[in-house]
Amino acid sequence: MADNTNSRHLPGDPKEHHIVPYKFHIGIWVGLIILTIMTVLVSVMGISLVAFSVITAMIIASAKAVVVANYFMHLKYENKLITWLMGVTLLLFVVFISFTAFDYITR
Amino acid sequence: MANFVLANSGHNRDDEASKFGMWLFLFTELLLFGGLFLVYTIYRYLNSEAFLHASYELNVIMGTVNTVVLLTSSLTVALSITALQKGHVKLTMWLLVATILFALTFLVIKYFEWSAKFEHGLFPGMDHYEHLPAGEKMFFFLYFFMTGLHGLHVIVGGVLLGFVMRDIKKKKTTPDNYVYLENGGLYWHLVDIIWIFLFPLFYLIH
Repeated sequence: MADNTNSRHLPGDPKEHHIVPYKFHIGIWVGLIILTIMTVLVSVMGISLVAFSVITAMIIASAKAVVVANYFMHLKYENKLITWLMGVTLLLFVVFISFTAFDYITR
Repeated sequence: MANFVLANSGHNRDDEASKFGMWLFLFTELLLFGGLFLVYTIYRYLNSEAFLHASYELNVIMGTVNTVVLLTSSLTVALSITALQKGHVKLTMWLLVATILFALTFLVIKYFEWSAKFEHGLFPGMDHYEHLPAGEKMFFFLYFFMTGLHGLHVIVGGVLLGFVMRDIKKKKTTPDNYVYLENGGLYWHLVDIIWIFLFPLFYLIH
């Protein structure tokens, strides 16, 4: 698949994996908890412009999902192909949602 | 003539391919829930007042606690991989035990939440539910369907991590061969990511 074979491992070779330090994971967790508190506060403290709070909530949720995928799921350290396919999956979802939305909005 | 060697003779392992397969499966899971999120989006657009009104029935505190529980369980799984990579097998096991306990905590809290809704007759088919306006019916239908399907994933994830623990005990999953643990962890994080979206969409509409 890749042409720079000498720098790559043969399939099955034990490879030196990227080991994520404990402290780093805990830092990520603290960040996720802060984002959770933020999203609850935005909702409960009642910045009550409905549209605004939905968008804020979705931005915060997406930020959390990206952090979980990148660091907890090690996406950042994996083959870039997985990231690309993740992009394709999300694109598919955006197509589903936007086409259906156009249909309903323009009725 | 018969003098050739297979590229990977001696061991039949390809960790990258294993993880790749797991990711492909996770993409199908994302689209499964994606379809449900699509239904949610459209019906919320059509019934925004009813969704807003119905969402006040949900308990924000329980939802928030469950979010923290799941995020913490994601942390313990992530830490367990680091621990196994560093050769700390005992710590790995304890972190996985902690993860499964968090999974059970999540389910117990969900049980109490659902019981409260049952008492109020809000489950589809119950008396009170049948008399709700159509929009609110849709909200509770989706609430039970999506958190139910998610809860099923929590159970599957917990069982899967139990199998990983058995493998570690049998020394099939070791500090040199831990892709099974990584894949179990990936599944668990997916469960967490889905909850990250379910939580604000159902509990925090306000």
